[in-house]
Amino acid sequence: MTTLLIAEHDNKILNEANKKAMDAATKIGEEVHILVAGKDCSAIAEEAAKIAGVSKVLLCDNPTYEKHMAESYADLVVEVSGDYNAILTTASTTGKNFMPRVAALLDIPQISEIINVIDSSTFERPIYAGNAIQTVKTISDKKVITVRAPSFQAAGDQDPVTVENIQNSEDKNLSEYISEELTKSDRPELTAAKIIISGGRGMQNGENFVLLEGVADKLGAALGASRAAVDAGFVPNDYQVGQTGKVVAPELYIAVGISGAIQHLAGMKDSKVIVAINKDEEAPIFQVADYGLVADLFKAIPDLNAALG
Amino acid sequence: MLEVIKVSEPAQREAGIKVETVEELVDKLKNEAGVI
Repeated sequence: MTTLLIAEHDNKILNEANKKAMDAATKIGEEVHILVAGKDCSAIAEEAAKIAGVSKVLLCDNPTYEKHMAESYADLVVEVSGDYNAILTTASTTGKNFMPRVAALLDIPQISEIINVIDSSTFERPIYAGNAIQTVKTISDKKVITVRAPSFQAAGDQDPVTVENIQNSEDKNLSEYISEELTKSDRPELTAAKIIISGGRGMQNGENFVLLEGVADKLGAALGASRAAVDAGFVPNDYQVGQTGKVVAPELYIAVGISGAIQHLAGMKDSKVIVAINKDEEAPIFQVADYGLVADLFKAIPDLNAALG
Repeated sequence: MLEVIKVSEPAQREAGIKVETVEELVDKLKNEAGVI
């Protein structure tokens, strides 16, 4: 019963979510190996070797895998998958891109976004935007699983295990990387941040997000947004928290001018502490908030900024 | 190949309290929740 965890990384940093996915992996199989594929990423492999619970790290260092393109990445995972009972990765943008392809190539159903492991073949996963929890059991010998990382506990550290270099398969050149445009930010990444401050339609326009930036910088927080704010063009869509955006569970989530549509709640209701600032006291966000402040955000946010010194 | 064993309701989050001012909010976050 060996499990393979495909590491999520950007060739420079190993995402913290891997430690949480490790928790799920160790609950499924007795032995866990981690696959690190990318370009110039041996430092990532060495870091992965220190995650408690891993017994071997496979490193495939090849320019083909630099951008984690689903086509070539899935071929590699399928090739490596032979000896494993379960193949896991985080339910990140990348994981959700290549993993269904792996499942299709192996001709087995993918078990998506698990939030709990009951036993090695039984899992819990949210359905209907988190309004119901489904328990599913698979009878396949092989399992392809994406893990909703915030639902698991981060694994600790251990003495590093062996890193084994593996050769890649031939790239079929099904897709080609052209370019990417990323939002440059010195703030923490949304899914890794301990504190998140998000704005909604109530922000009225993109310029007003500057108000949140001031507070975010004082708290060391990441900036997020509701779908309404993204659809209105206030901020880019990689800010989006919710069912069709990112699922987050920080220590503190501050929702500003967000009414709290069920799709937004699906992405943040596992946060430890939720603060809502909204002028409409009937807004559904207050039903999940630990601390609610009924106030005009254009007064409350500058006040908050000042109060934080 | 995938069998649904059961469907259950997730744990509901309880509504917390309303604070009156920003100062009260910051105080609660610092001293009660301890998150900032």
